[in-house]
Amino acid sequence: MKNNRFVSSIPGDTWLLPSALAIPLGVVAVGVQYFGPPTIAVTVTEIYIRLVAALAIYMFSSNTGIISYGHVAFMGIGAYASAWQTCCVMMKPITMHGLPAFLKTANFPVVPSAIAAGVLAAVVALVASLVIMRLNSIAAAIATFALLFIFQSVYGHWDSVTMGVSTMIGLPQYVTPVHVWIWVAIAILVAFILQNSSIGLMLRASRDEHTAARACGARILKYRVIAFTISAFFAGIAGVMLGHRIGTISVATFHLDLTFLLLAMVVVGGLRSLSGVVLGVIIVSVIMEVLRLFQGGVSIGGQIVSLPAGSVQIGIALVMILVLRFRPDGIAKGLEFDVKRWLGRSSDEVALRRSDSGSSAAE
Amino acid sequence: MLTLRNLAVNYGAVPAIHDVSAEFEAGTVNFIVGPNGAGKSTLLLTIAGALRPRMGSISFRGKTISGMNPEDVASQGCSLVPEGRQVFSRLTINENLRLGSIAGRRKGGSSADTEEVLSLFPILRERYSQAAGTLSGGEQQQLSIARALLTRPELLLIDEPSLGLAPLVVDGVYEILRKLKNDSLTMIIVEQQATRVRNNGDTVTVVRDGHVAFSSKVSTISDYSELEKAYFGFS
Amino acid sequence: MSYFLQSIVDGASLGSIYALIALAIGFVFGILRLINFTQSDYITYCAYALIIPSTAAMPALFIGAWPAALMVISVLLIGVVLALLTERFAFRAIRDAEPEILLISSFATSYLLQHILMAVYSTRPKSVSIGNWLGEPVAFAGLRVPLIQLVTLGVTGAALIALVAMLRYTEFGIKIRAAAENYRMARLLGVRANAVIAGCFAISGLIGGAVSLLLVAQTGSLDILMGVSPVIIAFFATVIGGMGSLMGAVLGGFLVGMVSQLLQAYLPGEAREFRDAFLFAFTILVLIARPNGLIASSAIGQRT
Repeated sequence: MKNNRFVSSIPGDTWLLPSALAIPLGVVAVGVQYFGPPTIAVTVTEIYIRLVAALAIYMFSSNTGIISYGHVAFMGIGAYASAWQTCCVMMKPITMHGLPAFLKTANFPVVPSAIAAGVLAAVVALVASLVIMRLNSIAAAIATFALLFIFQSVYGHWDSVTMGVSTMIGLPQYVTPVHVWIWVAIAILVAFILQNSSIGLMLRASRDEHTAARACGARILKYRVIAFTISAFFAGIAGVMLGHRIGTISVATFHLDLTFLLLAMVVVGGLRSLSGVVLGVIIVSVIMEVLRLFQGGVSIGGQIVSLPAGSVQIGIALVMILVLRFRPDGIAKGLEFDVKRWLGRSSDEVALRRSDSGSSAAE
Repeated sequence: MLTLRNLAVNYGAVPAIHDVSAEFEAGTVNFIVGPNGAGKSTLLLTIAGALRPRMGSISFRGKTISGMNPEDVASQGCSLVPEGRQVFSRLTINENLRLGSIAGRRKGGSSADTEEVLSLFPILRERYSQAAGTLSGGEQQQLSIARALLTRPELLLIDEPSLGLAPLVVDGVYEILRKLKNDSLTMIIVEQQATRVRNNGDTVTVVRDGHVAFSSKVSTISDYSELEKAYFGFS
Repeated sequence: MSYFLQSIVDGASLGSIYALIALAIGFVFGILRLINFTQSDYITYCAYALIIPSTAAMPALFIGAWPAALMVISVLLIGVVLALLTERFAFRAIRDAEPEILLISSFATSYLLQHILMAVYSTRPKSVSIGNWLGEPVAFAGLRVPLIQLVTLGVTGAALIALVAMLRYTEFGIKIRAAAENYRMARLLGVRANAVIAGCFAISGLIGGAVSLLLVAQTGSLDILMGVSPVIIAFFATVIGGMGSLMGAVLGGFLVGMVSQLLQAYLPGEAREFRDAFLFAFTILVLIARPNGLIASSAIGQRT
């Protein structure tokens, strides 16, 4: 019975894990949106947006073992695509005169626009991955990094549709905690389905075995492309959410800082489990908020204590380095939350698992 | 000269060797044989310091070497001729040999050693400044042994010297090993087959599933069926 | 025709810088399978050491005000020390980790170093004037070339020759090449891993220092991200050249520099702004055509 911990082996309880991850997050979203102070609602919204982005990276990287350094580019592509459809209809013909006519003069409803934006990101990912996924894992990781720089170069200079490096303002700010949560829930579900599908299983089986990967090369290539495309859709959605949360976007937002933050989250939590990613996003976000608070100055016993600028980034980098060194599988160690234990379905099983919790940690 | 006490080694997460104890005398040629995957190569790599034992100890000439870095084990006078030769294919033969003499120099070796070693391997002298990758399998095996000899070893560990070589070429390799034995070099030779044991070895140890299944002096073996039984796991 | 020649000289000068950085990355990658992002920080830290710590846009010179020879030696030394520190404290403990972990660790370490520097100097770009006279154009083979380009070519050329000679003829060079081909076997023969790896990092730091001086002399400015872009490009050059092959790294560096300058010179005006996108797309295409790089290093890339 001890394999019950791994969801893939218990089809009867399939929906327990995604539900256990998504429902509490939903409760929090409703709580802060309708009953919490606005500042907390903003913080929760930001955390959930990062969660969608981190889940996107997870969908691809956990299955393929290739860490993507390029997903932030898809966030940018999504954010701009949504802006083209929904932003500032009065200004568009002037500031973004290079847009096709149907976009230049009209605006579209936000939700279909968001989905269309995600699809655009996915299409770009599809084309890029047909090329990139032929490479071995380290070279592919580097190539995803190249995508980020290509995005920066193209969007940073494509003045007639992106306004170059200037900030685009006037995106409708429709993003609320509950709205993002819906995307979080969908992303959790899709990530879960993907990793338990034959695609996910094949990809993970081939991940550590170069020879195996070569033996069924064409099929693995196809599966990698599929995983990359799906994950880029969600990265695109995260970008859309980000833009419509603040109401402004600029190319610089979608660069190394955001890449680093998302990777830190994924690494700290652990790339080998869905629970790990959720945990990582929450932990790193909390550390970030605390450091941000101290950076602004906190009064402790009458003394104002304030950390120098840059403490947030330095702190997160240190946490990430320490986790990589002492717990390379992340804080979750590749384990999922044991939902059944929470529900208290079987108390003698709990005792059993506690006694061997270290030894059966391998995936 | 070399004593293994209750050695246990993991290869990755998998236990490859459990509880191996053995004693190898100076000046002897010792065979370790066993089927594929028995843990023979793991054993040699552990002695050479490339793998760390999980339990147990290795002492070499009275000194504990388990837990040492491979480079320090080499300096102690224990040298490995690895499975598949592993010559540096992009380096010249000369450069491969110079690498061998790094550990040798720490033990007071000199360029005279190189001359002496090359006299055993005339083919290497002919191709001195050629890339090692251009050598044939048998020549690479010679280079690998020559390189190990330049570390001035007291103990030579040789992992499957006949692997992938034609029988005639293997004869040549064993010809060289016999010369080394006459110079009273201590050797541990790992082979998958026991065919060369009778004519070349002083002792033979059968390793199976990570433990010693049989061990004896070659001279006292009257009936090789005992060895075969141990090899194939019949009891 | 002279426009073409001019582009070639520009390309060679830029390419030689990339080649040098690619070689530094190649040294470390060859042995540790580590893509060393902190190479960019060696460059940046060395450059910022020229000025006194300050957030001003026109800061006073610090090492930059010292006599030229002393300045150069100090900057190179800072590069070496910084590189050795990163090796000792960031990478030694995780040396045997998977390549993916190494890659992301070096990304994180670089980010950390970058933000420490940012906390001291702020993100504001700074202008620094050292070696202004190097900007003077000189007549050269019928072209008017800024002196700094010739100096760059001279310095990088000399450094490349010295490094290649070191690799080929010295015992340390043989050890590096052996360890790059088969790290474990080299150790089994008595090659001291710590010494060889530290040596490779020291060379990387040295190269970082030299590149920082050349870049500052060329641009007259300091920027927190000044090391990132050349290192990323150089690191693609390493991949193009064939990871693990040092000659490949040099070749890849020159190629990328040359292609970059030719794109700059011959792309139509509108497309010129997207030069970097073309450059990165070009590198990916080279990788598709030759997955193991221009100088394939057999199957060794897979071994740990």
